[in-house]
Amino acid sequence: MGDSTLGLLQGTVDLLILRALQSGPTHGYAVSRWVRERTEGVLTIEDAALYQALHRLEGRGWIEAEWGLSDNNRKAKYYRLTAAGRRQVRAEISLWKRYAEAVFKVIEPA
Amino acid sequence: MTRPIRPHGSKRIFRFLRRSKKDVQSDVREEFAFHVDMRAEDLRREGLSESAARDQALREFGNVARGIDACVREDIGIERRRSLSRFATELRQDVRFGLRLIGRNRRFASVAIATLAIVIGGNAAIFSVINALALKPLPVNQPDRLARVYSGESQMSWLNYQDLRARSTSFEDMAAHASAMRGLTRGDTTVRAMGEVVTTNYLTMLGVAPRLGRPFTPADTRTDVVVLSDRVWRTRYGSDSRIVGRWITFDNARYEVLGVMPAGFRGIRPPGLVPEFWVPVDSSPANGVLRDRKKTAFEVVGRLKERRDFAGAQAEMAVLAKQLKADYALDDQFTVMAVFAVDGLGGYRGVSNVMLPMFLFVGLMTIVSGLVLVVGCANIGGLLLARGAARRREIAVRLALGAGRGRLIRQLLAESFVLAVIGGSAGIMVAWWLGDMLNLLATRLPFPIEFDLTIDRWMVVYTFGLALVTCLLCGLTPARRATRLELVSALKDDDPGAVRQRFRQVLVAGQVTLSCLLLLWSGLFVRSLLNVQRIDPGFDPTGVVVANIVVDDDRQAIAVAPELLARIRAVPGVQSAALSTVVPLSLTGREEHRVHPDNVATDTRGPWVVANRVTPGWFETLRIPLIAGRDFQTSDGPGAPLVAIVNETAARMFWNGQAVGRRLDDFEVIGTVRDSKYWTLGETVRPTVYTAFMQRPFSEMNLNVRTTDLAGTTAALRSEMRRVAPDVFVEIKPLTAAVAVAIVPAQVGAMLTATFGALAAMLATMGVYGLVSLTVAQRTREIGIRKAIGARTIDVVRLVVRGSMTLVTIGLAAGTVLGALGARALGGFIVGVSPIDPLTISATAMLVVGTVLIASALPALRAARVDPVRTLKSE
Repeated sequence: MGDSTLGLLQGTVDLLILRALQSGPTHGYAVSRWVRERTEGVLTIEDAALYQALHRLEGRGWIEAEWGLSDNNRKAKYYRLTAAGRRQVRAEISLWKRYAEAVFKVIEPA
Repeated sequence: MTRPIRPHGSKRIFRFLRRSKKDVQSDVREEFAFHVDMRAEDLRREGLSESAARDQALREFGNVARGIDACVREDIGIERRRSLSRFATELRQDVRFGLRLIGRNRRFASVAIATLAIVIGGNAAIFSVINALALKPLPVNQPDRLARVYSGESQMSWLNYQDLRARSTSFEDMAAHASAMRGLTRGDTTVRAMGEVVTTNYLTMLGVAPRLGRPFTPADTRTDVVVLSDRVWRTRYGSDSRIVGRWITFDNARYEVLGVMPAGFRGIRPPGLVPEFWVPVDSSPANGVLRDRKKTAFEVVGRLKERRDFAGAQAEMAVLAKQLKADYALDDQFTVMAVFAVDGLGGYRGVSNVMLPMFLFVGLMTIVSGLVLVVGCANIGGLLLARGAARRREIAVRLALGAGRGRLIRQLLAESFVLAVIGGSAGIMVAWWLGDMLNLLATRLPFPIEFDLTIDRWMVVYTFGLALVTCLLCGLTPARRATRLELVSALKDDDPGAVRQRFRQVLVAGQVTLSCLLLLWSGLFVRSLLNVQRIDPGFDPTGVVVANIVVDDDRQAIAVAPELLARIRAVPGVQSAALSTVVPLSLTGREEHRVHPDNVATDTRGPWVVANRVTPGWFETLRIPLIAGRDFQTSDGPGAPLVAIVNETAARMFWNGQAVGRRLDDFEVIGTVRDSKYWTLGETVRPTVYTAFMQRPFSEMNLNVRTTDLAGTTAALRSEMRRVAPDVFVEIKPLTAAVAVAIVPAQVGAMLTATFGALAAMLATMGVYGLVSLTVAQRTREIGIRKAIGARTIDVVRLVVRGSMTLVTIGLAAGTVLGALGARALGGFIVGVSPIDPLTISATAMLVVGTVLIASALPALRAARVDPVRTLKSE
């Protein structure tokens, strides 16, 4: 991790993954690329941790996995949000917003 | 970027089966590899070289091995949870499905459940008896540490018990107990109560808390106290909670009630006989019996010390017994010295000769009820088979859509499972009811028999286990058959196939075989019962009154007897009167000895005889003819040479029929009488030795009076007894009533086998009816065509009946052969009937053929009556 990237707070990875899957089922690599692109490289997740999180989220029943074919016709594991996962992502986003707003209020001069 | 794998919102039709660890690992590896490949490709597109791209992709990925481990661990957890919840869901589905199936098919369900309830209930009831006899632990504190100190057929004298107790180091404590009979007076009526005289430490040593009051303890010195059994308390005192402290009358003496023992408490007696009271031994110097080392009256029990075992105690007791034998010249005592567990089957040691027929009978009933279970199973199996056949198409469709065969089988078995649970519960209730009936039946016996048939853990396990095994066995074959089919032909609804039909035919033939066998056996039992009632007991019980008199000791017996007899003989209507210690066939008392004919000392101990002690005129009173020699006379009294009379069997066995003048131990044989039955009507007469009551008195005696006026004599007897011995309890009844109990075993046997036989026959009839109905239903078209081309109703019926008759013939033949072979084992239970009794066999055959004829003619008639045009059009 270089200077221009930030370490991630615990739980953030989960949120990022769930948010990435909100736009539709996809495989782990796409999730990783989506995070990199959306944050313009500021936030990076170590891939091994990303996958651990994916499997953990599957275990919690927020996402489910299935093998499918990728665009280049390779076998890839696709993840999709479950109903519980969709609820979870909405809840976490609003939580994050409130959290971030509170933090901003503190650090920005009035 | 993504490709939907299945339509949004659709449910998965096919699921992955549970994956192995290896599968999970390779999946994770593949997923990672895909990621690294994709990233490397992207990087190459950004201009990196092949190998640099790959290196960077891997670097970005981080620790691959740890990632794999973590993901695999997570996935295995997921798999486990998923398959568990899938199983639970499916089970729930299956059970719900089973319930729905059963709810939809009320008729099938009620027939199946009723069948199960009856057959399972019958088996469970028999098991509850086995449970009570052999499995339930003795209801005392730590029964496995209790030891019986058994000194051979004779019991132990008080002094010997005292010495053993003082010298033994193996036992924490030892106690003695002896059977006792007392007249329990309440108001005007006096009834016989059987209980125990025990040492004051007996109840405390067993460590059972009474349900009311307290037991007597070693600290108690009073002898006018009594502890009652739960049964007496319930039946005689109406469960009066204020009984403690009240005084009751026992043999005209007053006793204070100290406590009531809990239900089921029976001291250390084997199951069945429950003492009705416990009183302390009167060990005062006045009690002469206790001072005589030769008067053996007690049984001894001890509680082992910790870290002592039975073998060690036995060795110690053997040494002590040898010392006592030598010190006091006790030649005829301590012939055996054994120490064994009171609990479990050990409790039967020493009484096994009495209990053996009971065990054999229970074993036989287990077999019989098991056979009925099999017959019932065949019915349920047949029904399920028919259901499976009817649902063939549905099953084929589901199989074709990809349903797993295992899942389908499980679903079909779920129905059996639901049946098993319902049937098992119903069975327990039936068993409970049957147990009550059995205990009710036991109240007809002249002693307090009560089995602890309460439902315990073992009962529940057994009943539900049996129900489950039964239903799964019944359901498995039909389920496997239903799911193993040719899809195409099943979907096209071709002929269901002759194979399944043949399987049901085998089932029905088997049912007929077994029910035939059971009917045959019950026929033998019924015939035997009829025979028993006709059996000549060898004496004439009509016109005889028996009074059971228990006095304090032998001396009082001698004192009372002559006057009593003289007074009774003077009563108008009385023809003769005599005393005996045993009333034959009344199941109340027996005496057995080993004897030495001609006093020949042999290495082996002498042969067994049964014995009775009688006064002059007893043979005349019971009309047992004297064949040779003479009857006892008044001169054969105390001090005169000891004399004995033997029966024909003994004379024949020991002396070739010439018994008079021969010696038998200390006795001279002075006469021979005709054989008569002693214990049961069915027995082969045993060698019997009669001795003179006045020479060998006993405190329990029976007054036998032949009279022309039963009622008048009974009343006179009562008043005379009150005059001669006012504080003695007397129980008076006609001898015919006393010996009536002798046929109770035969009645019970006939009743049980007949019930089971009838049950089996009914189930088999249902089986035949079911099979024929199904066959007829499947052949409706054929029957229609036959009728259309001119067949008459009778032709159709004949066609159908002929088919079932083949089965019945096979079943009948097999059943008769098996039944006759098996009946050899019944030898001990059936009297006067050959196991291959032609009458029984032909009656059974006619019964079976008749019922089957009706069972198959009814559906055939129904089919034949249907209008052929309608049948043909409907197809």
